[in-house]
Amino acid sequence: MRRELKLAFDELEKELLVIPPDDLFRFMGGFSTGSSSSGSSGLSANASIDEVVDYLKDTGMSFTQDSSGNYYFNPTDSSGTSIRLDEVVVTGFYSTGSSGSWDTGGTGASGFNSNLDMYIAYLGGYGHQFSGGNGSYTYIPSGSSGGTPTSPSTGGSQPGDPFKRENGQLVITPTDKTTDRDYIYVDDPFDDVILNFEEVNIKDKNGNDVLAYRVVSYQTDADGPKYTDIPDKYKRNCHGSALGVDLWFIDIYDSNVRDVNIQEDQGFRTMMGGYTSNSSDSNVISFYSGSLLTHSVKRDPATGEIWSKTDHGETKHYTSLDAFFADGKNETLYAQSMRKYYKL
Amino acid sequence: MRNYSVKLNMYSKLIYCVLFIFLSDTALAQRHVALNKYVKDSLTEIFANYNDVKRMQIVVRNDLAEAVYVDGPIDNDVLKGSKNNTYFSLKYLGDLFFLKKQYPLIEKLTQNKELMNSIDRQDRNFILSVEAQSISIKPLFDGSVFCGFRHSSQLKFQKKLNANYKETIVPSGDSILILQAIVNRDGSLGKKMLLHGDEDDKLYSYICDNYQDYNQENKANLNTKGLFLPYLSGGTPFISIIEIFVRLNPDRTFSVSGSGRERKLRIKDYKEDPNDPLMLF
Repeated sequence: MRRELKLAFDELEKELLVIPPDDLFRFMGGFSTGSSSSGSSGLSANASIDEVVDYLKDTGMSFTQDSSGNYYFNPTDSSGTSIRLDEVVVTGFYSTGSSGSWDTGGTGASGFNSNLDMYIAYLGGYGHQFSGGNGSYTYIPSGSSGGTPTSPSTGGSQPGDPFKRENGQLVITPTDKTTDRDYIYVDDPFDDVILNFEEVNIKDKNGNDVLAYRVVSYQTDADGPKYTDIPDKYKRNCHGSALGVDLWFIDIYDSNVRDVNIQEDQGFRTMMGGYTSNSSDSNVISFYSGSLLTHSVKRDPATGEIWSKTDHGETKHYTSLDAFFADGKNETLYAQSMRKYYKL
Repeated sequence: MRNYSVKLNMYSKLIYCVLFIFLSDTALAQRHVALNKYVKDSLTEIFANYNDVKRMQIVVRNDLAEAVYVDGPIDNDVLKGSKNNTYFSLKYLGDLFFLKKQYPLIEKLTQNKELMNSIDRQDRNFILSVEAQSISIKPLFDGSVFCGFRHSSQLKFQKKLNANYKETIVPSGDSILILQAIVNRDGSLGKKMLLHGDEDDKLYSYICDNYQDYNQENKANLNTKGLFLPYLSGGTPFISIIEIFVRLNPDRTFSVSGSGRERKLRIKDYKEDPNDPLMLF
């Protein structure tokens, strides 16, 4: 009888593996799916960033949007520094194998009950405090609670921002060189596009030039028209994403641009060298293969969470660096690579 | 913060049990991996015939099987890359050729629409992991931007092969060549080796000559017209490997296909530069 009952449970667990996240949490009385007297957010688990920001505005938080539609949280407290919120694709949860057990991290599961919880945790990583939980929050400005942002101050720059800015904008000077990256592969999971770049110099906070590439258009065919309504995910590579800027930092290796022995990402690497940190304090991790920079991820030092972007793909969120390594081929590609830790 | 994952305590199990009783004939029952008889019989036959195959992982994207990993058999010819796990792209003709040759039953199953039709799943993208006694669905990962043919250039190269062909170029073997080659950071080919075919074959000379002609004709614009695109990570190119399939068809046209995904180094005289490493995915 016990064995039959165990088998029934095992079978049931397997069946439940394929229930959509929303359905499952509704069955289990998890997050709310509508306004309720209990004070829940009224947001679904996979609420869009627009919905999350609307909710957070209602709690008294101030947000602005730039021309690209990116949201910035603007604290009114003494920290006075804005924090950009990037849209994150949550991959949900899955079975990890034939056992039918639930994954507790390692497959790219978000690690949160909802997108709202995730953004709250992200802002919490910058020292902002909230009361409540389980999808219902109240923002506590630092002046009222004594809380202090934990991100370091970098002089006149925003925390986490190593670049010089004028009126909040990067100081960008085009070099008049252009290049492109062709992603129209035959057997490839990413969008089939050619990204057209202009090469630019931006200033780090010490006034040094850092070469970077700005996407100015894209094509879906080599001989086709160029489109300038650039999807957000095309605007930055992994390194740009880790630093929160709409730029690509690339070793172009294009003899039509300059001598291929000159690495165009050297400025980025030199700049980052000024922020070398230990692993626990780091908020950016870069990976090297040989002498070449291969990848960077953004890290929340408070929680250890990781945000990673591949070329022009979506940003993915992981609960930890180990969870990042456990996804797909990341273990092979990065776990054994040389790592450099930075605290911006 | 809690993960999406659920720890099944006894209380939860009781709730599940109640749900199971009431819903097992409806929504829940429709969502498990329920394979039909044809697929079940095929899997039984596969594991009975290929004793060294421990697991198959069928990669499904947009409801189509696009690749299969065969886990188990040891490949000692691999110089870099996994020795006990082989990837077969179902879109690359070279891998289809080897899959059909080595594991015809697996090739037959992956090409059969019954396989996809029999899986009641939530997502259009997933990995179907099949062992002799168990089946499960796993998430699909995006991976990297591996090297490959530049699509527009591949079409032009194929046209060139068709246009230049003369009846005197008669393959000595079976009219198929499969080649592994190093793709340098600038997209040019480095060392290469034939995985199928003969270097003395006129067909091989014909392909190599046309490749050189193509490069010569486009030498001013190889950065945008070159035949191959290197492995990219964040837009930065790296040295990698491509495999190329060329077939002279009965109608005297050429089929050309290539893949840089999940390749393994087999070129014996290639020496890797530790500062400029070979990137494999």
